[in-house]
Amino acid sequence: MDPASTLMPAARTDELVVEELPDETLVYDLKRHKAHCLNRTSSLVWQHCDGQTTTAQMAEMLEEKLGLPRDEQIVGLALDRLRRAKLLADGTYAPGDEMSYSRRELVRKLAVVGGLTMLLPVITSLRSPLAAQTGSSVTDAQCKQCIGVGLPCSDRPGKSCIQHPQSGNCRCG
Amino acid sequence: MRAAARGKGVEDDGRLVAAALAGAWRSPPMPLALSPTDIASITPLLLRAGSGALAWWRIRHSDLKDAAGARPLRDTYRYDTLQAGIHERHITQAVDALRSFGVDPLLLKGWAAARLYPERGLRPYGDIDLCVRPEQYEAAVAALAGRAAETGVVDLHEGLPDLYRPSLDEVYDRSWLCPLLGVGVRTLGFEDHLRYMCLHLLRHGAYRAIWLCDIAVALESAPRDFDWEYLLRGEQRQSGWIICALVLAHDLLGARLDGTAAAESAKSLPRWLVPAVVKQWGAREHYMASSTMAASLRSPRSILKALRLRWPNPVQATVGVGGRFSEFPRFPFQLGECLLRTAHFVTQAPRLIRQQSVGPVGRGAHAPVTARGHVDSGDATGTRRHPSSPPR
Repeated sequence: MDPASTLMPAARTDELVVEELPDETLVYDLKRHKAHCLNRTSSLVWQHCDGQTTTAQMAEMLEEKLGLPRDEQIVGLALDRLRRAKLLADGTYAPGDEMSYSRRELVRKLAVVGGLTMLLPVITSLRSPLAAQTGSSVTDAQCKQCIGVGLPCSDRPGKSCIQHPQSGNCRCG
Repeated sequence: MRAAARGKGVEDDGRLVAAALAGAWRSPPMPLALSPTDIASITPLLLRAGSGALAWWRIRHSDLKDAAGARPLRDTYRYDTLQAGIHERHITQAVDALRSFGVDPLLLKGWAAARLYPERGLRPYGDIDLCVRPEQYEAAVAALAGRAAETGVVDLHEGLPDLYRPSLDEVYDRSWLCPLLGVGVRTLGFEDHLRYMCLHLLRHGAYRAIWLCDIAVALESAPRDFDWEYLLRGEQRQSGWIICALVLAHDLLGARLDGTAAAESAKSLPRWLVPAVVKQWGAREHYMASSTMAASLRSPRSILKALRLRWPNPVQATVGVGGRFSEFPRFPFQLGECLLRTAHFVTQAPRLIRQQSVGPVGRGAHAPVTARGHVDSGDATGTRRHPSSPPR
C-alpha cells in the first residue's frame, strides 16, 4: 500500500474562528491575523482531518460527495494548501509526507472527466476589500480600521500603519 | 456648470446606492434592477458605506453576481462574516470582564443592530459600544484595562445622554438579555434601540447608508406590542427628528411604515432632505474617512480640502444646532454649526496637534472621542471614553 494512503492528518483547531457558508468555509487565524476562504473541496478535506481518516478514505469521500475521481493526488493538493495556510496541526503532515502530485496533470485529468476543474481544492487569502482599494498610503482613520496595514500613514510622515501582534489593533507608529 | 454637473453626478450615484440597498435586508431580498455597469460604478461607495455585504446579499442569486463590481462585494461578505465571529467573542469577553467588576453594561449599535439582519455578517462593525452607568465608569475602565487582546476596542459610554431619556433606570428596565455564545448580553429594548439608531443617524448627517438600513431593519422587526408612545416620548423636537429618520428609511429604502404610528404622524420630508442624504452617499470622499483636521493643519495644501470636506451637511447642522426639519433654508444652520465647531476646535487644537489625535473631534456627548485611553497610547487598553455631558 502506498504509504501516503495511510496518512491521517489532523486539522489545527486552536486560535481559529471558523464560519461555515453553504459552499465554502471561512477561517480567521487569530494567531497570524490572516483570513482564508476554503472552497468546497478544501473544506471537506479539512473537515475530515480528524487524525483518524486516511487520505485514501478522504479520496473516497470526495468521490461520493462531489463526484470527483477517486484520486489521492487531489487530497494531496488540498493538504498541501492547508499546510501552507497553517491550518493543519503541527506534526501531523510534514513537508516530507507530501504525496506527489502535479497540479497541471490534475487540471488536465479533471477537465477530461467533464469540466470538474472548478472543484480543484482552492484556499484563497481574504483581505478587507476596503484595504484592497487603498492607494499607496492611509489616513489615521483608515489605519485604525486596519485598512492598509504596512502602508505609510499620510497623517504622520515617517510612520506606517502597524498591527499590534497580540490585540490585532492597528495604529500609525 | 461643471460644479453643478459634478453635483448631479454625485446625487445620481447616491440614488443608485439607495436603489441597491432598498429592501436588501429582507430574506429573500427583492430582485435588483440595476445594470452591471451601475454596480461597478457604485461598488466603492457601497464598501465605504459599510454596506458591501448587504449589497452582495441582494445580488448573489441574480445575474449581477458575475458583474465586474460584484467580486469585491462578495469578498466583503466573506470578510465581514468572519469578522462577525471574531467580534462576538470580543463582546462576550468584554461583558464577562465588566460583570466580574460588578458592572452591568448595555450594548449599543454593532451586534445589537447586526443580530436583526438575516445573517449577522451583513452588518459590519468594528468597535464595541458599551454603555455603563456613570457611577460605574471608573470600575468599567479598570475591568477592561490591558485586555484589548481579548475584548477588542471598546467605546465606553457614560450613561446615555444621546438618547434624551430622563432616567437610565427605565432604559435598563426595558432592556433585553440576548444570548450570545452562552453569555447574556444586555441590549436596549426595541423602542430605545430604534430611537438611538434614528438619533445617531441624524447626528452624523446620515452619511453612512448602513445606518439607515439599521433603522429599516429595526422598524420591520418591531414586535406587535411595540410602544410607539415610548419611542416618541419627550421633547417635540426630538420626536420630530425620530419621525424624520423613519420616513427617510421609508422614502429612500422602502422600509415598511404601514400601520405604524410613524405613518400616522409622518408628514412629507422637507424637499432638501433626500438630496442632501443621497449626496452624502454618492460622495467619493468624506471627512470621517480622511485625514484629521489637526493633521491637515501641518500641510497648508491640505487645509482647503479639509475645510471643504468639513462644511456641515444640512442634516448634521440641523441636529447640531437643535433645529427642526422644515422647508426653511439650511444655510443659517450650517453656518451656526460651522461656527460652533470652529470655536470648539480652536480651543482643542493645540492639544490635538501635540497628541497627533487619531480621531475626528466634535462637540458634546455625541462626538467621537479624542485619543484619551485609545490603543494609540501603546498600552493596548483599547478603551475610548464617551463623556456623560448632555448634548444641547
